[in-house]
Amino acid sequence: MKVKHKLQNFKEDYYKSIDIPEEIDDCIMKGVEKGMQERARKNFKNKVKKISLGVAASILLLFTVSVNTMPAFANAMHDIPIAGQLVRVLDFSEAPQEGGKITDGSDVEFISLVEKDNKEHIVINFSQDIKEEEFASHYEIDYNEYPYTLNFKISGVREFSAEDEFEKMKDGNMIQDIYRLMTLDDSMVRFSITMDKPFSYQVTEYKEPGQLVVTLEEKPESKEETIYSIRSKSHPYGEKIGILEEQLFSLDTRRMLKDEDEEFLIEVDYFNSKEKAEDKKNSLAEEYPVISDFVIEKRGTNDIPKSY
Amino acid sequence: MTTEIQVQKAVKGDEDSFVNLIQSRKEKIYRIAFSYVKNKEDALDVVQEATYKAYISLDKLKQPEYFDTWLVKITINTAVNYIKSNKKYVFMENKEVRDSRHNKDEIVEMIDLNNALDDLEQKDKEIIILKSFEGFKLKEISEILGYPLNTVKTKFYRGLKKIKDNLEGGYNCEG
Repeated sequence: MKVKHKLQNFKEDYYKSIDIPEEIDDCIMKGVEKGMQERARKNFKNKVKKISLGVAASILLLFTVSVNTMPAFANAMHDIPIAGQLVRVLDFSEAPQEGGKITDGSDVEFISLVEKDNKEHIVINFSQDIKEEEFASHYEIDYNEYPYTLNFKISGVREFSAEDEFEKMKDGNMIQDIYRLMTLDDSMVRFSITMDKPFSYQVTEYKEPGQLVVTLEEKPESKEETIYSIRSKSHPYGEKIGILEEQLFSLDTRRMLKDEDEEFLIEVDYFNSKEKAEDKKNSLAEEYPVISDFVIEKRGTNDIPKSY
Repeated sequence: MTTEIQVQKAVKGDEDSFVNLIQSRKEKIYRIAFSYVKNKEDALDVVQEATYKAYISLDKLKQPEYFDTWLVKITINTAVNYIKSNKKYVFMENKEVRDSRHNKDEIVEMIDLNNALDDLEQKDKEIIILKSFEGFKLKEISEILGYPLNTVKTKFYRGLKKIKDNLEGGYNCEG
């Protein structure tokens, strides 16, 4: 018998060997039902798209009104360019905040400022090899006064494309200056934002893609005090200021500041009386000889350090 | 009512026409699904999923006369994806079904033929099943599987030859 004929005979056997189960009718109906649901869902979506512009505009108006009148709404619905899912919200405070994931080789790609409801939102985007980074890189944010500053330390980062956007950040009401801080560690970027008003801040972190939103809120109270700062001479942005900071690494109160001439200095501490500052400077100079070259500078609440 | 009219109605959103079309082809799509996944439960899953996919993509079927090849194509794709996502499971089932068939089939020759068929490469087997059992033309099979017609022809005749060699070899061994 030829193979073809055999196959022909086999066909019957093949048909018999596969019984058609009764459940098949149910399966077909389930498939159709699922399809009907899917089609209805798609149709609904299309209909929503077709809502006329007028209706859309009135909804928008309604939305704007409710956002402005309901505090809860305002908190929940920032009108800011967020694409990811919420990871955490750190409360408004002046305490240091920390979060994000350990990454390597990320880029602090973009920074932008959105003003809304008397608050300013700093939005920071991360990327890795031109793609969006899944999580925000590890960040530490630190609040300081004299002048009012917010210091950002972002780790696992080797690029800082966002620096190009710094000029635009100064457009807002609160941000007086934003500048990069010299950092000897090449897997970290630091930058500092100077505000000319007292403020508290809130950090909201998102993932997929990783984004950070730092919301700045003006505080009504303002103190008019004078401080006496123990500070170094000014140096241009570069390794020298980085090394000087490194020498004072164990001093927790140290910080890097930009002076009025766009140069940088290290401040080790400040006090509200000149005597206290002098005492401290002398005692520190024993342990850190470099501090003997430091000076005491008198500054007001919003004063930017002088060039020295 | 001809298939074409029914298909046209179904495309326009007539659910009854669609259900009728699938109903009258359910045995065919079930057998094809079964020949891939080798067990009842999975074959039923494939039928359900293929029905769903056919329903939601019906508007993409431009020529009603190709409904059958189109439906089989969807069924095969669904089955192949199903196997991909349940690899280990199907492998075990495959063995079991073979064993049970040995018990079921009484005609030695048929067992041999069945085995010979199973020994073929999946693509060759598909073509033989579609051509010899489900009655598709080689041209239609080329549409379904997305191969050039000549490839389908080559695979079909190669498959037949392999089965023949396999069967003859079997006889020789037996003596």
